[in-house]
Amino acid sequence: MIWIVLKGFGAGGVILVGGSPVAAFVAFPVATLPLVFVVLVAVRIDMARQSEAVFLANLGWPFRRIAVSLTVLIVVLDGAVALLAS
Amino acid sequence: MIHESGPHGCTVPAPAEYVLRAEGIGKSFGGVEVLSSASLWAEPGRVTTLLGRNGCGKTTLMRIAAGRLGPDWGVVKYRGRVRVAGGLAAMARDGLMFVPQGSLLCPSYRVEDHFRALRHAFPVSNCAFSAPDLDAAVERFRLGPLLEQRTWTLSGGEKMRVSVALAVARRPLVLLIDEPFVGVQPKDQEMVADALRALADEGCAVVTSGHDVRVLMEVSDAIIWCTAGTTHHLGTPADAASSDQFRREYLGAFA
Ligand SMILES: Nc1ncnc2c1ncn2[C@@H]1O[C@H](COP(=O)(O)OP(=O)(O)OP(=O)(O)O)[C@@H](O)[C@H]1O
Ligand SMILES: [Mg+2]
Repeated sequence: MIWIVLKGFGAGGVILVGGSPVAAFVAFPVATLPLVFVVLVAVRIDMARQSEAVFLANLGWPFRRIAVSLTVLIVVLDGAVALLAS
Repeated sequence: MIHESGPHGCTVPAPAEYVLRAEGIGKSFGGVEVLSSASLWAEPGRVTTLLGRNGCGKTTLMRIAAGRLGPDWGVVKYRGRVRVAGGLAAMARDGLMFVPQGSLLCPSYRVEDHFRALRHAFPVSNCAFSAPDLDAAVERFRLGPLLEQRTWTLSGGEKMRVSVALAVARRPLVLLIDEPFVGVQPKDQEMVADALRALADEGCAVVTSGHDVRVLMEVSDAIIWCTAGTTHHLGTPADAASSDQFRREYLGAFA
């Protein structure tokens, strides 16, 4: 699933900048290696998050609240970067 | 106090005495029915144990009771209120603790981080435990040498020992602990059993499960048998051991 999503995003990006979607989707084996690495890391993080979600819920923190906090943090950081760049 | 009669002639406490109750639970995975009408309850001051063959749905029932999984039907009530799936955090703020099968710990945290998080999550002002309780739990479960270690480097038995220590330190109102004796060496099983017993004696409603029949029967006040998608309240461990069907179908040589 993660592989399909990442491939989809990659191909989507290439289409947006005017490249060939087929070429973007079909990669050389060597070019796939970083993708494999990203997928493995994502799965590993997800596995850790699963038990983390139970532990944090036991402390009274629902994952929803953590997700909202992270989203707010990212939006604030992005806003700060945009302000600095302008 | 009103008591109804259980299926094996034993007494079942009236519903008001249950602090947590999952009732008439049904759950299927991919069209395969695991639970059709199962019930689980937690009573203050008692250790209730869920027994049953591998794959009969003990973990599924405990996860549903803890608000980690939604049932297809049936209802979970905690402290008099109906609870929904995903409600573990709210119930935890209200005194419930759930230790899943395997362990409670986060792989990338150090053992010490779990105790620190517990201390921050429940400030002394609104909770039954205090900082000395945490230190006492660390000492009682001989966790000193493990405190700096990352959880993923711990052995199975060590993980369970840390999980039980956290539960003891938390002093919850209800403790749901799935397979607390798995991978724990015999001498430490006694320590874990004593800790669960002591929690119950302080008024905590403890619910356990597993296949370590000897120690589970010793520590329990009540046995619930999970079989064929449903549950039977067998009464005390002695009552359970004298049930022919339970002996034949589950205990086998342990009878
Ligand atoms: N998320 C899931 N998806 C599909 N099937 C599942 C899922 N969770 C549990 N099951 C199935 O439901 C059944 C009951 O599983 P459960 O883990 O509740 O059993 P258990 O009684 O705790 O067994 P054990 O004694 O081995 O721990 C099993 O057949 C299992 O394969
Ligand atoms: Mg299980």
